[in-house]
Amino acid sequence: MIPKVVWKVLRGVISGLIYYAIFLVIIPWILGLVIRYQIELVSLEKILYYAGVFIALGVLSETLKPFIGLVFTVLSILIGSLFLITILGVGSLQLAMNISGVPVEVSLEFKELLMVIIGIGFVFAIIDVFEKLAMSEE
Amino acid sequence: MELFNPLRYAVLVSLVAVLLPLVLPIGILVYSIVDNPECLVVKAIAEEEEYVGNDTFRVPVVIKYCSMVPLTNIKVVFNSTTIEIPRITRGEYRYVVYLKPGDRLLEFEFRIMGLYRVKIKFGVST
Repeated sequence: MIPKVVWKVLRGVISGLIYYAIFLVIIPWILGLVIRYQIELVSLEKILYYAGVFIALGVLSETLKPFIGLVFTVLSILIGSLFLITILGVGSLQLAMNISGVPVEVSLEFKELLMVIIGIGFVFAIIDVFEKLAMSEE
Repeated sequence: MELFNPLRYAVLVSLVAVLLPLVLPIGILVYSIVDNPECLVVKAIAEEEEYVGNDTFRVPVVIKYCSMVPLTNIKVVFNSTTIEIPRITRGEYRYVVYLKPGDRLLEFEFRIMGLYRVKIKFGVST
């Protein structure tokens, strides 16, 4: 039998990895696919640092008492949104290219799309919080 | 963790419903331009330019656009003049501008379906 604490830590690691994957891998990848431009994701040296932050918050949120754990769940979402905004440059992308030999600078703003994605992220966070609250009362 | 799962699925479905109309215009436009690089062209027709005096030339400018996604708030900026067009859809549009010698196209700005602002600056060293 696996002790309860180890099980909780494992669940924390998995939930941390899920938050990391959603905010720093899946969303930038989908946006890159739509605008046909490879958005520069987290550099290799920083992957462990970013993943570590999410894993630590996930483990804290699962192992601490529900009401304190809730704070760390919310922190995961807030930090994820912050990282996402940092990577995507507040919903504006700038490219330098050559069109028929003329140097050209193209800037694309997609704030509305980013706000919808982050807004829905917050809705999921609120559902998570309510679920934990309901489970702690049972 | 399955207490609120039906609600999660409902939010996910609404997310897809909201994202589709937001993502489709930009996706369609990008694919039309990748498919046909001549899809959006702004061209001054030098053969038809006409001297009107006071060091000014009357030059026809043609905007050709092939995608089904409408473009709004279009701004074509030259050194001495700017063309502002509220909306264009697929087709060819002809405008007349008055340019001085040495004037060139500096900026081309538009919004994809009124949502995403795109600004193209020409002659900016990379």
